[in-house]
Amino acid sequence: MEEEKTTSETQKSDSRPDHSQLNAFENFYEKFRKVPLKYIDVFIGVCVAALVIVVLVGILKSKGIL
Amino acid sequence: MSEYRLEMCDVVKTFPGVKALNHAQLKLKPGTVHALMGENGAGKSTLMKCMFGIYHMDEGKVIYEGQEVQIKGPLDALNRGIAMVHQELQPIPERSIGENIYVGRYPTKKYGPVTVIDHDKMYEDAAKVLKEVHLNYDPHAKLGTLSVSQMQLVEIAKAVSADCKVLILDEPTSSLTAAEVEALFTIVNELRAKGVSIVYISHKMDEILRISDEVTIMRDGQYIGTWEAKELTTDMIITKMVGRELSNLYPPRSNTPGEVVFEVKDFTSINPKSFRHVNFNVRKGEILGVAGLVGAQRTELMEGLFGLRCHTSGTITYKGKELTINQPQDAIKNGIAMLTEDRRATGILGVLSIADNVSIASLNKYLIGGIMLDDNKIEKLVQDNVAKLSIKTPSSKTQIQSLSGGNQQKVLIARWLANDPDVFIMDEPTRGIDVGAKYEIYCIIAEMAKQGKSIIMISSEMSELIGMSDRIMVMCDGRCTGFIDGDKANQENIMTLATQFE
Amino acid sequence: MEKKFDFKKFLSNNAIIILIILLALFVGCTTQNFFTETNGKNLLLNVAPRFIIACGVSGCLITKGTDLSAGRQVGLAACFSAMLLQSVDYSARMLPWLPDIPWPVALLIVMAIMACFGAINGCIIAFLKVPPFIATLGMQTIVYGLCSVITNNQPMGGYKQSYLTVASGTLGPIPFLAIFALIVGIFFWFLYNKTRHGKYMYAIGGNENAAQVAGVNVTASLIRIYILASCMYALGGFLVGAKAGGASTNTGNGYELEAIAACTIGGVSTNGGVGKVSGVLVGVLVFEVLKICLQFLGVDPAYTYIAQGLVIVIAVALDLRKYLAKK
Repeated sequence: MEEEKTTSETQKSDSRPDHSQLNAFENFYEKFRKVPLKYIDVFIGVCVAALVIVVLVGILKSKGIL
Repeated sequence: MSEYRLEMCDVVKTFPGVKALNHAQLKLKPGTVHALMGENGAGKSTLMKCMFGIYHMDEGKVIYEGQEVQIKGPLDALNRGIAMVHQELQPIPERSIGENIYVGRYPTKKYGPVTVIDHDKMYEDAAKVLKEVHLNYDPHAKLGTLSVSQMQLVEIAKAVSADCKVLILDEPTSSLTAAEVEALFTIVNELRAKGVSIVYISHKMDEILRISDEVTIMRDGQYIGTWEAKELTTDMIITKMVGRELSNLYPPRSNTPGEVVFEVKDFTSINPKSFRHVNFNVRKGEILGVAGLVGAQRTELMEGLFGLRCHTSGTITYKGKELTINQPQDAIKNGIAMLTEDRRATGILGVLSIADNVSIASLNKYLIGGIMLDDNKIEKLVQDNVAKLSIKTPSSKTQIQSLSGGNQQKVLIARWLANDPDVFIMDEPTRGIDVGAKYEIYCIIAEMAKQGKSIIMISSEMSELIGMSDRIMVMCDGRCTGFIDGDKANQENIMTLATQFE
Repeated sequence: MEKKFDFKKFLSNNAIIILIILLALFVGCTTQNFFTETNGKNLLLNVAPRFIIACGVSGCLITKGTDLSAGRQVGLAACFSAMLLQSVDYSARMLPWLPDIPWPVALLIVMAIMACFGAINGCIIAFLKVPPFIATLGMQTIVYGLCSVITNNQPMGGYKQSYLTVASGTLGPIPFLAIFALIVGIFFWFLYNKTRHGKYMYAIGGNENAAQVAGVNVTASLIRIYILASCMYALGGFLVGAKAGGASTNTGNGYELEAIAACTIGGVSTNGGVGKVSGVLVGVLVFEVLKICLQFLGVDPAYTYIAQGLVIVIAVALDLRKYLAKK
């Protein structure tokens, strides 16, 4: 039951949602709003590369090569 | 050098399903008050948001002081000398007035390597700014202690404090009393004399004609033209804004209101600042318009009736039987429907399909064996409504958020009609909808009334209220101040009742 | 321009799945016995209980919540199952006074008990409006504590044969576990797509305020979702215990992380209101295929652990990207 007053507007903008409307994940995600998408892409790329490397290292180690 | 301080040229902005701005233009000269007018959905706020970098323009450019600029956001705009007082206030009520004025640009001082907010300077500056706009509030006081109209004046002070060259006022007088409006005009005149370019967005014709030098009119996202204010009359402005003669705006109605069916007595909110001791009734087949200023608590009252807000006292009766409504399900079971004010926030289930959105409030009707949903029945429901309400959509599985505002609203209306309600509350049913769809919705409302439904329509558009209502209820500051018969209603008597503060 | 965008989007939406398929192909080509029936059955036995647990969590995720207590509930359920189904003549029986109980009865008892935990989760979240992250985090530690107390931190074994057969037995070529998973899958598919509860769930996830205005009983739906989730954890724990032949307070540790990540990979986004049972299955498969591949290659389990962690991070990062790109 909200008690806040609402004010009229002509067109609702894509404004930041209220803290209360988000769940834990989204609250966490909102902290990254200022980060340009490019950096996140780079981060994902790095993780994927790390994944591939870890798997390769694991394989090579098991074969006794490393 | 150009004679213009700020130019917006050929701006195009598209949202899914809607072309909000279609080669819009705006040219501001220094030391002038330039009114920007248009119906709801014409694109005024969108254009301003593009200027500010809140929205990214698809096409077009902004030229400021002779140079093309890309404004990255409100703070960047403020630093360049462009300030805006928004229509939708974003105040932080728990913090002080001073903090609200300087939010995002607090004056700082350094303690060695550490930078902290210089509170003393902030309050000193805030006091100066408030004085400049003739407000004698204590900058240390919490913003929440002020009324909505006073908060709006503080917003204006905030913009003025930035020593701006361009000031945009978006519906600045929507919550102000007559005296406060005069104070605002004094400030505007002083700023104009200083050489500031002022953009004045408003629906209030008499104010526009009084204060502005030039008027730009927009319609459906397009630039219609710019005229000198002294060459215009109210009727001329309306005709240009609407694009057709006033008489064709609203459909002919053939509903005949019958006996009183829905009665509300002494309805009071648990919040003492909200609606109190409201009495009204609605007849069968009647359209009751609900008028009032922003902050009149109309939405809150209807939400209370629908079970979304708590009330401490009052009764609701339908055909003599008293109804107990503590949550929306109770209201729905008793034949009441409500179309909310902000369909994006509390209306549409954006990621779900049209079929889901239409059927969600009436799923009990499409069951096989009491448990399984009959997709065929639901599909038929959707198709019936698509035809009946002229909903434009590629398929019933389309996500509702990709439809235009008007079509979304129709889907929501279909949702409620599926339950065949007796009382239909509509809060700003045509807000943010293009002119063509508005007319279609008016026809739908007229048809519902003809079928004997009782319609309660909250609207902030004077012409809509006058054009569509059989009777108008006016509210002011949480109280019901009076009723006006549809054929006797005009802007003056509505506004008189709407500003009858205690 | 349009075509290029679609390819990129496809890649980013399905990056992890593509990677895993490539890995599986690589392993299959470079080792023997990978694409065999035994290996397939092995995969199925691993996937089944994880899938059931992930289905349980999916409801919480679709309504923009979460359930961090899933793993520990699985553990507690496995321990309860153990206590009820130890062989009557086992010397170290936990409940020596208990008569011999048929395993379906034991299963129902365990589900009923775990349903209570789900109900508590649901009530705290729906009535007290505590954020699900916090509520279930608290429940996680409480359940773990209870498990320690009840089992005295002693691992349990010595199950009766009929219980062990649940995990090892087959109906023709199909393992019983797979049949459990199939039934759960069909049930959830039906629930999510053909019942009011499913529609209400998606509505709440899509826009809780709008759902409330539309007359959805949000409180009741949420409580039902968390109760159902706990019932799935109960079933999952029951099956995990049967498969392992034993249970302890460590059983199920960390299962929620994998379940949530599996759902995220499978398209149940934290944006809410979106998610399909088929997606959950795909997500679970991704993890289990990854594990089996690395196992087949003889990779040290430590590296597998790191790889799994990276997959989880990538899944969350992709979801984050989707969320930010949308706004």
